[in-house]
Amino acid sequence: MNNKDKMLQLVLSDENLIRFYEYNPADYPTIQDALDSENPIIVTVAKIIDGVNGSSDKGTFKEIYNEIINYLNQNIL
Amino acid sequence: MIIKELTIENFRSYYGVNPIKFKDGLMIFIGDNGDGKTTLFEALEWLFDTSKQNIDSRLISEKRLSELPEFDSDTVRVSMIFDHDGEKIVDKSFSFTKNANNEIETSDFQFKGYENEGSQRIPIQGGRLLDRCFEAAIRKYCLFKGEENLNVFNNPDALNYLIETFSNIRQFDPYYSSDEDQSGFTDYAEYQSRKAFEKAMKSDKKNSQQERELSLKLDLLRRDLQHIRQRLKSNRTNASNYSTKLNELESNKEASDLLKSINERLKSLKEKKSKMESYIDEDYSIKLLDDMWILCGFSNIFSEFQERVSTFSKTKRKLEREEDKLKGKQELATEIAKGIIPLSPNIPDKISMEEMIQDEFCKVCGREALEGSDAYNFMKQKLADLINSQQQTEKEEEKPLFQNNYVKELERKSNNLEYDQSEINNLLKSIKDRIEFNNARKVDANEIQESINIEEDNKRKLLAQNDGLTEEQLQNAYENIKNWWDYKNQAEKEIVLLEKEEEEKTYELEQVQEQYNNLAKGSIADTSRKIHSALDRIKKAFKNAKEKNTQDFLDQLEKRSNVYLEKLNVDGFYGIIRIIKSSDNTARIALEDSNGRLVSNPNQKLKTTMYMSVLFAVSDLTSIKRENDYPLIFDAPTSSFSAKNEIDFFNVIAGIDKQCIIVTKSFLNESGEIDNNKIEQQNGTIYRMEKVKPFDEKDLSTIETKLRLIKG
Amino acid sequence: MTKENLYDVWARRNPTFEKKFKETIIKQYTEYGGGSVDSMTSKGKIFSAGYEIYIYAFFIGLYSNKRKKLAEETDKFGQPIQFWGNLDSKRFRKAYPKLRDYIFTALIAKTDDFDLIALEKGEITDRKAVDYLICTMEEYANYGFYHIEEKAKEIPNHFYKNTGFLDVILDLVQAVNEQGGEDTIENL
Repeated sequence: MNNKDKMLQLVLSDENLIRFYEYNPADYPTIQDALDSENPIIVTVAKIIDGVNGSSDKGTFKEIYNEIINYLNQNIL
Repeated sequence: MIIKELTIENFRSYYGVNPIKFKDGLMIFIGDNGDGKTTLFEALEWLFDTSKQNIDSRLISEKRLSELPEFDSDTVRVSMIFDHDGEKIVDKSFSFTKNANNEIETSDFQFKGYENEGSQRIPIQGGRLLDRCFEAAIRKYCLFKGEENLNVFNNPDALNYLIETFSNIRQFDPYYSSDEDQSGFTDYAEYQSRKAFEKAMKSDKKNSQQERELSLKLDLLRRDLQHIRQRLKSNRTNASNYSTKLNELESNKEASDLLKSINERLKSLKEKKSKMESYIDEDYSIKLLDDMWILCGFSNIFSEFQERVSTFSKTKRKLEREEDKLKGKQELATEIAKGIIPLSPNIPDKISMEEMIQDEFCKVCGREALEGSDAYNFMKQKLADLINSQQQTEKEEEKPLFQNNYVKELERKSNNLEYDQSEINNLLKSIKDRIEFNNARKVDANEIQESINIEEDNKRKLLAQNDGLTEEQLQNAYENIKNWWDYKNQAEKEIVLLEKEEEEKTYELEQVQEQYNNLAKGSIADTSRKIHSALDRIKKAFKNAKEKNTQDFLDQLEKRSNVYLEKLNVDGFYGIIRIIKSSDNTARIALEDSNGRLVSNPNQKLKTTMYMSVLFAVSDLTSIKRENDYPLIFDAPTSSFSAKNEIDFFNVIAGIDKQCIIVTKSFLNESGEIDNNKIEQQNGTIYRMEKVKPFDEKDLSTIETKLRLIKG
Repeated sequence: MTKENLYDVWARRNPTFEKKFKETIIKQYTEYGGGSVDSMTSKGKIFSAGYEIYIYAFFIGLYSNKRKKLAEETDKFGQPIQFWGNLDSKRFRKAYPKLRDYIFTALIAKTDDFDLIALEKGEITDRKAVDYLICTMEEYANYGFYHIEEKAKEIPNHFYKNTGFLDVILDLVQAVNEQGGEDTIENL
């Protein structure tokens, strides 16, 4: 289990998130599993963790942001 | 990282080149005060300082300096061979030269490093190598000088530092930093999506009025919230700072109180001693004259004098009477016939005579002399004779037998000095008494001095234990208490109010946000709303994840600490370590009993093992994280332990799988000799360090520390 | 015509001592001839006036009951006996005028040549009588000085101990008392 996976677990275990978006965190042990999910929130979190990848560069932020906005626009219910 | 060899050259009491082999596991360096224990520790600190070129001529071995010829040079060096993914070396040195005026010049600071790459040895700047292998953050939790420095959480930032260095918390920064900071991705995303949402809302003409009102409200609320949070932050910082100061004071309070009472006792003892000493008067020689002590043997001589005068007087009177008799003075015939020689006219004196006549009582023999009696008449006649004798004698045709009357003068002297005789007779006793008195006062003063010495000793120990705080510092500390308590309480009150405000404002914000969102429902802005909502929740999820991560770390730390605590306190009470984090991100290490109640004043030994347990736990976590282990180096951590505790302690440490280096006074008996029994019972590598004999405590140039391997 | 007191005649005199003792004893233990910074400050002087050690020496001779005739070369103090002991002006000192009286009585007791009867009759002058007394005084003191010298040779710093002078007197007194069979005091 690498650090990104650990972080994924920590974030997905948030109670509010679970309650609102109705999922089981145990279903997504790795980033890859999360990216393959059908739940747009799960995918978004994974995209964020994977995409930002520890960088604080504003350019990177913008890129990732655009990616997830586009994704959510199409997938959010 | 494991230290393999340390070489100390001309550093303080380490004269010449001193290579010391290190092994894994427990290493004990035994030395008495002044033998060079702390110097060993300081040599390591000096080596590890990567922040500056720390040349200091005071570090040069005095012995080396004293024998260095003029114009000659030598080196101060500390170098270390260690294992850290291969064998490496760091070597710090500087040169010193004795110039023409016997002054010392220092130069040529070098800090070199070497590491092995394959079969080659690559040079590298020493500081860089050290920072890479044994970075400052880790060193901070590896070197501890003295028992009192073990509480790493004395510093309020210590916990943050710990968390930041050894937990994963920094990994969260790119995603979420803090409520005030907002520089993480999720902050960015939430903000941007909010802006998009608001823009979408504004473009929807239908709700434009309400939208404007609500968005205005939202802006205000957000701003207020920000202000509240800023004030919270500053108050929390204040409260924590004063809290730290007061905590330090708490631990010093006891010391401060003790110091105060020691000083009071000292003052009164010194006054008492002074008083005793003021009573001593040994001016014996002067007293011989001023108090006439020299007359202590005079009694007999004075008696001789009186006798002689009396003899003279009698003889004179006898001759006078014979003369008178020859001249035929009748009135004295009766007395001569009786064979009694009358007393001189002026004995008794006139005043006594008049008194006795008045009282009709002879005070010489103690019998009545009533008017008209023989005794009375005798006295009257005698008084008349006295008065006569005082009047000028008639000029007689013949010269009187005795021209002079020195006898009278001598008799008078005899009488006058007689009254002092009782005093004179007591002189020997007075002298003896005075001498005894003086000696007794001296004994008293000495006893008091012994008590003074004990108190001074206690005072020294107290100050030594308290981190080298000076007496003044300990005393002044107290004056600040009241202020600090007030400031701290004020800040804490503010915090409570502000937290409530924050809560209310956050709630209000959420309400208004909800209204705003509802406005969006069913409009073209709805998707934007949903997206923003999702990103907001994700942001909060990251925030919680970060906090959970920290809490997990602390839980781990606590758990491991308690494992060590139990090991180090096999025989006694130990309680449960709790690492308590408060909302201002400061932390304390506290001890609780099994009922969850705080153990408020653990004894020093328990405190020491408590802190060391935390340090061992930190070290564990470090090695997990860094995938590398690091040595723990302690200087004199067990001064508060009993002999038995010490044996257990060292053997527990010997059982921990880590290089642990301890410099200590233990294992020495009262006369400063090695206690071989204890050595036998102890596992690990043991060195004895001591000053080479002979040496002169007052002359640094005779001091040289030598190490001797006695076990391992 | 009122005659002077015998005491006063005696008190006007200035007894002599062997000159050699000026350097060896008098200057050592008293501030006599003080002015020289050396003598004052190098060793703490015990007595202030020179005659004080003379008095001390006298009592040694007196209690030992031994006299020693004076040698040829003599010297005398600057003050006659009548001023001895007038120390009220000195700090930490008291005057002891009575001591003069006692010395006088000791001389009367111990001077065999002193014939008071002859003096009373006028057969000898008061001056002559006092000569005899002074002679006794000088010879006792002289013995005392020799005794002090011997003691200082025997134990060089004896008289610098604070009980130095006192001890010698007490030893003599004790010896006398032992002879007389009386109680003695403990040795210091």
